[in-house]
Amino acid sequence: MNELNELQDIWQTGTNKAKQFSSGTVSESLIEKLKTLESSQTRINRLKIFILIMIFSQMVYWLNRLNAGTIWMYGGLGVIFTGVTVFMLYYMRNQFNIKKLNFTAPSDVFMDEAAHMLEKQNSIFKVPFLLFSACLLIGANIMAIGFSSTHENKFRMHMIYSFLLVVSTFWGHRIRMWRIRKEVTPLLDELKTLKENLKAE
Amino acid sequence: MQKNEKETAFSEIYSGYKDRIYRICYGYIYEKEQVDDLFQEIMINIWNSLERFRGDSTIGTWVYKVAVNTALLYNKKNKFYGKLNFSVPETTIDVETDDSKIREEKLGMLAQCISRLEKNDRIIISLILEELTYEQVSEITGITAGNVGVKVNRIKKKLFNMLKELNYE
Repeated sequence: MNELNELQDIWQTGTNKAKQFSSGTVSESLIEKLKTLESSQTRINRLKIFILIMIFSQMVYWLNRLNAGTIWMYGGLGVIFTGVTVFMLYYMRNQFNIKKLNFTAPSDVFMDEAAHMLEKQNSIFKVPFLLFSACLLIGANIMAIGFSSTHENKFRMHMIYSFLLVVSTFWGHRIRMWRIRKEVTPLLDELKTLKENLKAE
Repeated sequence: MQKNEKETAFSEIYSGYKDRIYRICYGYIYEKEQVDDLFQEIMINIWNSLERFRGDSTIGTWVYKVAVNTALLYNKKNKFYGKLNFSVPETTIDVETDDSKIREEKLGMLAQCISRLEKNDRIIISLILEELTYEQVSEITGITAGNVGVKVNRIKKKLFNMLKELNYE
């Protein structure tokens, strides 16, 4: 027996944790759990869309009920709704792409695809996020036109809305970018190094 | 693939490959808690990828591809699913004998040495320890069989040197 054969023998038959798997087959409950997990992301996405529709329909309902619905109100709401919907669709498409990642490809191809997917996932926080923020800002300001009658109040409304939105989107973006730098960038670097090492002789 | 076919195929893979997949995880990560975590992630990816199996390669090679790629992308901080709680019996099957104790010690040393290798090398040697051929490793990793051979020789050398340091006999 040569040395590698001995290592193979030790590796495959040693009393390790793996050995403890040796009896029994997969339980039905495990398959049930996997099926639940498979559908959970779809359910979460559906829930997000449902919540979004509920919020907007309630806003339209109450604007009508309180006779506060002016053309400016609906116009602003429309801009916000469009911005949020487009952003959500883009975001969900990215999530769908993660599911499409082909784990059955050879590793060198897989690493390229994974890196590309991660970069694409990050890209949502560049131009799409800026457009989304702009829609919120424009929509809120259009709505503010219909809120108050005096010029002074209108100006104050515009300032408050704009300030709150700019600050919240700025911090939201900053936190996201910080998470990307902390979690995704190291993974991208590692994939690059792994691929270089794999190809090197 | 129909629902029942998918469940049957998964059951067969689980029964036939769980030990081998677990050892791949053990070779790649070594830390117990993370090994369980990676094993779970591989099982989820096998389940999700079953529709992609076209029979172009053997089921074994296909399973190893999913396992290796999941390991390469494994990032414990970046999870988007909850724990599935794969049940693992806590009792050992073997009756403790002197021989099994020695084997366990040797396995511990081997695993420790593998954990000190670079990530790619850990993957390659784990596949070799599962008695895969250079061609199979080549198909899984996408590098040429010749390059696999070069790497295996280098890894073996490193591994035996490390084992020597630990007085492995």
